[in-house]
Amino acid sequence: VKMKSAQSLDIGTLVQIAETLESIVSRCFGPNGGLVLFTKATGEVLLTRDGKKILHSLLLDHPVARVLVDCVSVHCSMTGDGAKSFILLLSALLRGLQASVEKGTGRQTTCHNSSGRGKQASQEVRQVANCLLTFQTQVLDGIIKQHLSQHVTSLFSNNGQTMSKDKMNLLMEAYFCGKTGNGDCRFLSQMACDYFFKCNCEQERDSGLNLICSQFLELHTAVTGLPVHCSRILEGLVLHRDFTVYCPADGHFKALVVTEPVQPSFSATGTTLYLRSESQLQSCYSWISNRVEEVITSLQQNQVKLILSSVKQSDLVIYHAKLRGISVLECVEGEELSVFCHFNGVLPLAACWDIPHIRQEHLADVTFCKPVLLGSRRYAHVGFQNKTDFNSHCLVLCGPVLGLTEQYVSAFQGAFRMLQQTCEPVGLWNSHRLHSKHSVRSAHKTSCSLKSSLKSGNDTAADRSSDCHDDQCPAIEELHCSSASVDDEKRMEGTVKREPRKLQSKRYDCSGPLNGTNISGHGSDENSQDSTESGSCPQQSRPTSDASNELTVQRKSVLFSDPVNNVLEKCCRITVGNFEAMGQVFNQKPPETLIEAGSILPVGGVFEFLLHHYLKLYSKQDVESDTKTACNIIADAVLNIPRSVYKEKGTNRQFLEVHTKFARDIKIKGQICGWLDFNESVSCKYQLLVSVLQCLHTLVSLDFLVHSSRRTRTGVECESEDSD
Amino acid sequence: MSRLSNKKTSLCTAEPLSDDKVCQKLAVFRQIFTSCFGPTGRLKQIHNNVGGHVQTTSTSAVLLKGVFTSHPVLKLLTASVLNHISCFSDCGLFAAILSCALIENAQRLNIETGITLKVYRHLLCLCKDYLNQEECGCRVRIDFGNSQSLLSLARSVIASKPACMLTYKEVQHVSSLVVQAFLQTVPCEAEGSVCLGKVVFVSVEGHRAMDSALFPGLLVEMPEMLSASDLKWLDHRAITLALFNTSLSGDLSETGDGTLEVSCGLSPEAAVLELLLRMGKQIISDGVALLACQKVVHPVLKQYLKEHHVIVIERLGISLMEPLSQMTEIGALPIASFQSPVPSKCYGQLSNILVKSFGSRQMLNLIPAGDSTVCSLGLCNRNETTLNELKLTCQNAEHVLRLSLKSPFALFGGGCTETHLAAYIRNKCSSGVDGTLLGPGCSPTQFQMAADSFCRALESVGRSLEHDGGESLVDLRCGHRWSGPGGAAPDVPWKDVVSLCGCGRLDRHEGLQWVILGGKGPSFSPTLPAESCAQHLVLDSFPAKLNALQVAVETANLILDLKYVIQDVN
Repeated sequence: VKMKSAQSLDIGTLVQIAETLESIVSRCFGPNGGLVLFTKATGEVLLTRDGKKILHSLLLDHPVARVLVDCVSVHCSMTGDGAKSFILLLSALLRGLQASVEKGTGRQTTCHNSSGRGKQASQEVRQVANCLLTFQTQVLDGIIKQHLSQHVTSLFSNNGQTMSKDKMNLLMEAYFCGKTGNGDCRFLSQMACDYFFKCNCEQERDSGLNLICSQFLELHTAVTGLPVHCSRILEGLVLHRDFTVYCPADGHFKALVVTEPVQPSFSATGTTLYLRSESQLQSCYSWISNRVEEVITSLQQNQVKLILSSVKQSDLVIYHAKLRGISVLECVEGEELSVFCHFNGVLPLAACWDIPHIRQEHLADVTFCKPVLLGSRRYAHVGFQNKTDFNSHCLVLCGPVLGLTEQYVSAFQGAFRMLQQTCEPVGLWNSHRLHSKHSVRSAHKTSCSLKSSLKSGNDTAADRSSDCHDDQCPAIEELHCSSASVDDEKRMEGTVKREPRKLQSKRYDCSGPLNGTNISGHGSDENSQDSTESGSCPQQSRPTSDASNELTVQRKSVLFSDPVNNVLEKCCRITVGNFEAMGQVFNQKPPETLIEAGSILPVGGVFEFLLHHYLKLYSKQDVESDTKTACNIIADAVLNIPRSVYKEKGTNRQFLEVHTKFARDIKIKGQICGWLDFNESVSCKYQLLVSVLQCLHTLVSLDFLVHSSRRTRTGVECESEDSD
Repeated sequence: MSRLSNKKTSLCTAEPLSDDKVCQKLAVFRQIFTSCFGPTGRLKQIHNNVGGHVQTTSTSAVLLKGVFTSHPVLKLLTASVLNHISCFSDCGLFAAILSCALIENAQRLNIETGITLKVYRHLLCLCKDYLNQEECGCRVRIDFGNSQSLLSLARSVIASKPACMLTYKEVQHVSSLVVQAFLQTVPCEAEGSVCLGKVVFVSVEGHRAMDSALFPGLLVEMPEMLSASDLKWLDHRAITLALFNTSLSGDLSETGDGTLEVSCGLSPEAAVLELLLRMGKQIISDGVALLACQKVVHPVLKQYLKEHHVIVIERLGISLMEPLSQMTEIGALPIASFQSPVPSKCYGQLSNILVKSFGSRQMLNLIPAGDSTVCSLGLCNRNETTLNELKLTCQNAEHVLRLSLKSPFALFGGGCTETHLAAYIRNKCSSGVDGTLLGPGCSPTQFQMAADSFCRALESVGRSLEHDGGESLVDLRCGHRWSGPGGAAPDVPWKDVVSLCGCGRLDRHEGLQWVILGGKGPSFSPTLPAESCAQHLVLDSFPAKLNALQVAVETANLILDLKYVIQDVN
């Protein structure tokens, strides 16, 4: 590594960087904050009040600033909130740290030269920073559990069973106030609550919220050109494509999801069609044509009136569908299709050869399907009978300009993330979420669902083989190697070679999310039987000596050729996520909960004032001097947030008034009163403090920036190292 | 790889509106829109300095797409107006002017922006509520039993586009054509959900706009091989039509991903052609008299069909496919396969095919059997620019008429709605406002000031219609806008110099009083003018204007609320 330069980094620089960012975000912070207009290099315009977006759009150069922005991102993706508070809190902490160190070194001036003094200062900084890190476990958790919890109210009524709509509304409104323009937050929060209840999320809260957060892209439609008040909730699902064929249909009917062209291909990749006579070509054409007709007719007989396809279908298919009154939607996003499949409890059909032998598990029950005009674009709106607990609805979010619509969308997504965080209890001695006891069970369920999907794959393959025998086309006999069935075999052989790698990667994909939930491994006692049976990992659990067995495996690999594989995999992944969440519903409460699920406090700095109050009390007790310093620094720093909230024309007057009133209340009555009705989540606030402390520790541990030119060819990549 | 470089840090500007340059740009922007507004608006020529096409226009859509905006704030404004136009096709200039005016007025106020925003938002709600009220004084219900109000709507759209260069008579003619075309697209029997038909616009340049005409059914290009004598074979009761959307060129298509090996001396094309001819034979025996194809037809097939007196229209294009299938009586289905026999239910019926000369072009007019919701509007104008503008204008007018089906109301045009609304709000605000509505920090004086700036912005839109140095007046009963001569002698009463109000609903003989618009007048509650038999009302689309109002206020609020502009300079 060739060093270009090494730049020393002291607390002054850190404070400077943090304060620069603070000055930017503070103008957008709080109820009177403004917007930021961001123009991308492409000319797109984005409007936002979202702290994370603002920080990212700055494209900061300084490595420390970049580390900082990364920390903020991680925090935001966890709680969906708090980017601006993060910066405010961090810069206040850094300032406090700097002040305390200066005071300390000023007092004991043993070294007179500046470098020695600097070294001493940096040592002191690190000492305090270490103290801040242990602060969470030693002081903060205790204060939260002992003192703060008496002031906390709950989002739920009936002992945590049901969510109170009013309280949720107030929580959401406070959130939207920080993320969007002032006028819209009431409307948006009302809509977010309606959505939550319409989707039946109160029954299956965790799985519902999980689904909304993870599949938000599919569950909303952004409309540009209409005022925000045109936003609404629609029943069912909006698929973001217009109908290729639309045939109005009444009553209930079936829908089919396909992931491959319905029309058989003339010749497949890697094969050669050898033409020997003109009539042969003609019969091929008419065979294909007849085949498509037959397939569509069989769909009509099965009451299928809607085909959803992830790929483009040929004109021939469209034509026959139109003739038989079947609506067709082409080129639908794979994710949307998998969400549709999930809600309907159906599987996408990959092998269109199978359609004449189609089974009920591929047919979704649809109650209506119609085109819907949203803004200037037309989409397909589909309603169906829900097979899951989630009562599927989708959001239509409108905004006058694209950039603003995006802001609403990200605010909505963040709001549900925040709600999810609020509804989860925070465990003691553990900074993150609770690990589900029942995750083993969820793993078991996942493998079952995987098994069933694979099994159906086998079955369809088997069906197809019989199908091929039934429907020999007249031309095929003369064609020898060009017949569809033969070439199919060929294709299979081609893919068999790729199979192990593919399945391997598949297994990896499936087990990825499971690892996250701390399963003890496939071999755990109650689970081992299932996992061997499951067939989700054939080469591991099932010796494929049996010839017929091998054939099925081969065929399966054909079925999992790419597009299908993707959809199925995604499908599986959804189920995994879902069961993961289900696992937590069954979860019994662990004995040590730091913050109860659904804990909320009024907005306007109550959390910060309370924390300040109790930290000051705590530091007056007999504690170590370092802890005392840490307590004081944090207690003062947290006040920076309410200070920014109440800042008006640059004066602190309102803040002082509010703070004095609070201090009086807590001293005399021992409780808080007279605050606004709006609420904010305690667990998000707690998480914020913890994240900031961690980030601070990372930053303070740095003392040199080493510029290196390794790896990047043109620019300088900055790597920060600890040179101690 | 070598061209990759580090991303530059974004450019970050605080308080963009406090910059004089930005304000200046905004003022220029506003000037452009204001000068285009209305029937007497000035035209703009858009061209780039390296040659190329020159457009003359006063339409907001063309203008906004053509003008390159350098500053992000202007980009935001442009984007929101364009989005509005894409949904409503009208009132784009109104939205742009109002938005600029609101921003400029708010900046002149010495009030914290947050308060101005709150007041604007509150007043927008007032406006919306008022416009949606039954007793709204600037709204009329569209009478579908009478073409008068539809005609007024269409005429206001067309007359307000001076770049079409139409005379008064031509405006009348074209707007009546548009209304006729629109009425044609509404199906006669309406049960359940109604599917509107389509107006196909055909344009010919070099003729007078008076030559524009409406044709039933579709106008298509005359096929090369066709002569008038070929039409004599037609059975004039019902003409069977076969409509193909697949190519009949005889090329080998969709051979899949694999390779194709052909043995020596074998011609696959011949095989395909044989299939085509087989299909041709079938449709001849089915009595098809017209074959229309979206794509190309093989010349041999064309010749073969011609010999059997089947008319062939090829290269129809995707845009004509839907109307053509819509206008045939049973609904011809586009056929996608020539390999298998054509089912007879795919055929459609036409009642006649005529050769029409329209302008300088000979065209084939396909006439539907029975009631059809498809018609063709042939537009003529003197040169290409004016023709383009006319075509766009007519499309907009047709869209506006369609919107009127959803909400059957219209607003008084000619600046009357704006002045009326301003008068309404002034009156509403003078009686005081509930302080709790706006929250703490907003004093009644501040509220009055912000409300005044809102009303002045609305009035300035009304005033923008005046381009020739005239004076805008407002009457003190209905709050309509009147235009009077500029620099009139102070002793002449207004009554003697004005004739009709902007929208034409009121005339000067009704015992009204006038004051100069924007001046200090008494506050009054504007009323709905009495029913009059005025023939030529100027009416604006209700949904378009309502949305434009919202978009304008919301966009202005957004721009005023900006604290930072961050520009990615990479």
